[in-house]
Amino acid sequence: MLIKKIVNFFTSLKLTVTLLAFSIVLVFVGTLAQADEGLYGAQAHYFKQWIVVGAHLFGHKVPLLLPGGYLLGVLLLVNLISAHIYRFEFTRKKLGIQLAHAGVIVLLVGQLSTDMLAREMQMHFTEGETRSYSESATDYEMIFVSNGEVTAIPNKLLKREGGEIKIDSLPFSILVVSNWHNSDMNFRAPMMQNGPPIASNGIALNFDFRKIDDVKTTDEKNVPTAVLEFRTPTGSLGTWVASDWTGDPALVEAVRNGYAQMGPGMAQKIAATLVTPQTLVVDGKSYTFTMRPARVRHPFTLTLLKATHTTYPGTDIPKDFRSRVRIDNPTTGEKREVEISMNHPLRYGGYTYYQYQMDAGQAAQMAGRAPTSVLSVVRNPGWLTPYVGCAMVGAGLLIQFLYHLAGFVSKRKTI
Amino acid sequence: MKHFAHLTVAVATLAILATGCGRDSVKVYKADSSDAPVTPPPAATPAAMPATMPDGLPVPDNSGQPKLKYTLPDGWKEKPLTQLRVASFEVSNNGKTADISVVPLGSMAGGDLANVNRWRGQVGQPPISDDELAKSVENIVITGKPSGLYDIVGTSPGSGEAERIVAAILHGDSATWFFKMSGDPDLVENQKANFVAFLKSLEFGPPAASANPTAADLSQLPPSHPAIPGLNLAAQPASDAAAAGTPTWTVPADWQAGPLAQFLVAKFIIGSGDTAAAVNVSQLDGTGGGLLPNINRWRGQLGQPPLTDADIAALPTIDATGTKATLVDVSGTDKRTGKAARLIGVIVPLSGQTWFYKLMGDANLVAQQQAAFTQFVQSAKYPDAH
Repeated sequence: MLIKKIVNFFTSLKLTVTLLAFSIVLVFVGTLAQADEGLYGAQAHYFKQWIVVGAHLFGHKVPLLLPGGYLLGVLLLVNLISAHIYRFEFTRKKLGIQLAHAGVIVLLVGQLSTDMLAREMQMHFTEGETRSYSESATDYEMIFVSNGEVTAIPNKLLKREGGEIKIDSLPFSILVVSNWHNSDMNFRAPMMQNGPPIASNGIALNFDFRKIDDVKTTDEKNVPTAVLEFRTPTGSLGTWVASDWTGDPALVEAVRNGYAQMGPGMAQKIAATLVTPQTLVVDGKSYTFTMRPARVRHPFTLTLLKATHTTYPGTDIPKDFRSRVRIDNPTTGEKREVEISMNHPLRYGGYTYYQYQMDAGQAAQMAGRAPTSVLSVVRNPGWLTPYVGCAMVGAGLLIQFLYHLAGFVSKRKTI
Repeated sequence: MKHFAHLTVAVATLAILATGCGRDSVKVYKADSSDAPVTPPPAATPAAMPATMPDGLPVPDNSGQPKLKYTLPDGWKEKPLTQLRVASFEVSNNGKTADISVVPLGSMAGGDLANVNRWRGQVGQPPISDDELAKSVENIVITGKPSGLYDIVGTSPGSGEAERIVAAILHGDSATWFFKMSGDPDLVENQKANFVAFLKSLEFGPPAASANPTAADLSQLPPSHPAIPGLNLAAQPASDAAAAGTPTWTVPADWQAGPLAQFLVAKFIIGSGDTAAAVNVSQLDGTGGGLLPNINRWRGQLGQPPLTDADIAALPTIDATGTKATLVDVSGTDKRTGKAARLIGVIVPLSGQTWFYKLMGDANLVAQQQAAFTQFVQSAKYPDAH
């Protein structure tokens, strides 16, 4: 009896309509909230979420309880699949409807798979540089390098303040004192320091870090900083700061430029102090650590041979961004040159490389900067699902329409 | 049965997805050259500042940078300062905004042509030559100095929107000043008269040094601005002490003259090895940034928490050269050596300058030397003491 009730609930059209209505509200609220919370913030708060508690709209906090994107998606999927299973009849009359529903299921599963499996990263290089990895624009990792071995810990695992984690390859555990999603950094000039340093060792003695609000727009970047304590069975190794301020060459350059007012020598000195390697020594082995954008390593390398930024004659309007790269794959022995341009991505090794940003051409030349190219690197195993799903829905609706049309036409003939 | 087959497929799909691809797991792999720590790119220009700040340096005052006075045009709103800016405004009309910035730069400024071409690049205009620059400049007098005003219209390569920049370059005594208004072309056109009026209203106040800066002056660095010590130190003449000759003291017999680090007027070493202490003497114009930051900096050197203004006001004083000098006594652990240490400091305010005396080192030795140190401070004869 109970099972029947559950089945009825999950196969009911009422549930579908309710879920769709909630979806409409969620999309509406989530879209409006982007103005306040930013694109990524709104995605995380409303869509990549099971339950949405509270919303930020027009600068106000609105008390609100909504099913999140994950919950709606999963319930819709369960609803559709259950209905599919219990009402499935392989008849010509129902063929179109079945196909359209199957198409919607493919779309939902495809979206879920994209969310779970797809990665979007970037590859930055200047002319002549070789890269064997891509970097995330939003995720970070803590790395410990010891004896030529890298242990990379996703920053997400270090999010819980007060949490302690132990990694097999490291002889110490990591206690998270604090971990800020976005942070600001200030040089503790010998004569200006006005508070105790935030950690007892390393760069914290020369730099102050503080938590700041997350940036909301996609062209700004959050810079995470964590205060960590390392503990061995025999005692604590003290508190240290790990920050992306030290792990990202572009930020280090920005820091140097920011202090240029103090004179180039001092600015250089500050930048050099900022990137002083921080090392823990345990049982005679040293572990140098830093925080940096999360990397995915490729079994091949790409070398930027030439970055070309052409403009329409007589103007500065970009006509074309084009990166000539060489692929070196030691496992297959492959070595070839390819051109990546705006609508001509490179598909290689399960990844798609799109031309994303470029700092080349006259402006860079004038400023004395080496030509630089940024490729957007995307891996999405579910990239075909939207095409297949839409084709199935379209074909299903067409079949259903033609079936009815045929019936209607034949009925008219008989009158 | 058929239903079960469907169900199995669905559950299997979800299970595969739920496990994801392990992107949030710890990875261990062989390091390559790309895993080396980041190094700062090589300096573009040779060092113009001391490579290290000597220990014991009190707060230098930012006297090199004159204070800016101006009349704010109607409708202009002050904005929070960002890096490099010493003044920042915004004006908006019909949803369009223009940004106004004031940036002083020292020796890093570069020439007018390079800067004008940089601005031209920001609105998608090709660079121009010196001749063209001379033709395009409008002359304007800012703070009594002939300066150049430039007006550039184009399209921002970043946003693709039309943009106009009206900017002026003033070559001041110690810095080159950049005044820039940029934004929607119509609004900038509309505000150009206001911008010119603003430029003409500009006055540099007297340099902070002769106005006796207080700690509050230093705290006026914008909140987002990194603390910039020693700003313009390179451009400043040698300290007055060096120019006017050093004071004379009665130096205890067991004190050895030590090597002078930059900014120090005198240095003495007492004892040796593990039981050593050092006396540093330095001098700054004005109040040297005030008592609070200097005393708290000293406390920080021994790992002690900062004091508040009220605590500082309650500190004992001693008589030195006819004035009341603040006495500081801090015990703690020397951060550089990790050893217990004590610091006795005396800050002597004289007319227009402040003298900093610091005795720091092994706690027992410092206790023994305290009386000698106080006598030493009180024995000072300042060449230009008033």
